[in-house]
Amino acid sequence: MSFQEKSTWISLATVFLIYGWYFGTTATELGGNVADIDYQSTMLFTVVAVVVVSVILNVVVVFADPDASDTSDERDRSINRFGEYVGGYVLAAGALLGLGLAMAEIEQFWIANAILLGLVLSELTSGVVKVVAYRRGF
Amino acid sequence: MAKQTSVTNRIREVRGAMTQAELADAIGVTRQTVNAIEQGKYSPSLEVAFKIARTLDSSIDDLFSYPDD
Repeated sequence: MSFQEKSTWISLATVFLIYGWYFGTTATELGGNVADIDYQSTMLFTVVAVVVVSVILNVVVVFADPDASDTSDERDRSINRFGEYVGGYVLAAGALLGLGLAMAEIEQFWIANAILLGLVLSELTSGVVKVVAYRRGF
Repeated sequence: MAKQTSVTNRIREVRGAMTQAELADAIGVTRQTVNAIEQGKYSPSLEVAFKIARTLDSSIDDLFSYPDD
């Protein structure tokens, strides 16, 4: 498995687990007035945690195989480009959803979480597309 | 989306004792990419195809083929 593929797996797992934890935790607080939910600090913590954990795991992979870490070739770049291209559609859908909620003057809680959900689903889609491309062929 | 390419090749046969890693180093790609090319999971760019042919002292026509319609 190339370094770029390992990095894709790390990103996929990190995003799935940490944002999964965030949305699971946030969902348990629903029921009352969402304006009272202090989601901002948890959301910021989660976003930072995803970045930090991803960096740490990538560093671990680099130390495990230093020679492979600086290799990225045309296949890696093509797969990355294709994954980001597909994920971009999901990101756009999330942005439109956030826009629609803002226009409808829905609570900020829902707008912020809809945008974050769009980002997360976009990341997951890109990751899955890349992994499938690496495994099945591209 | 992801699919096997219609381009077939004889790289495995022509490289003989040369390893995938050695070929990969010579043409500037990862060993995994050489493996994917050999298995028909990735069609290389024209530039990489030329590099493979030159490294194996062969020609693109000899290494790669595309089925007739």
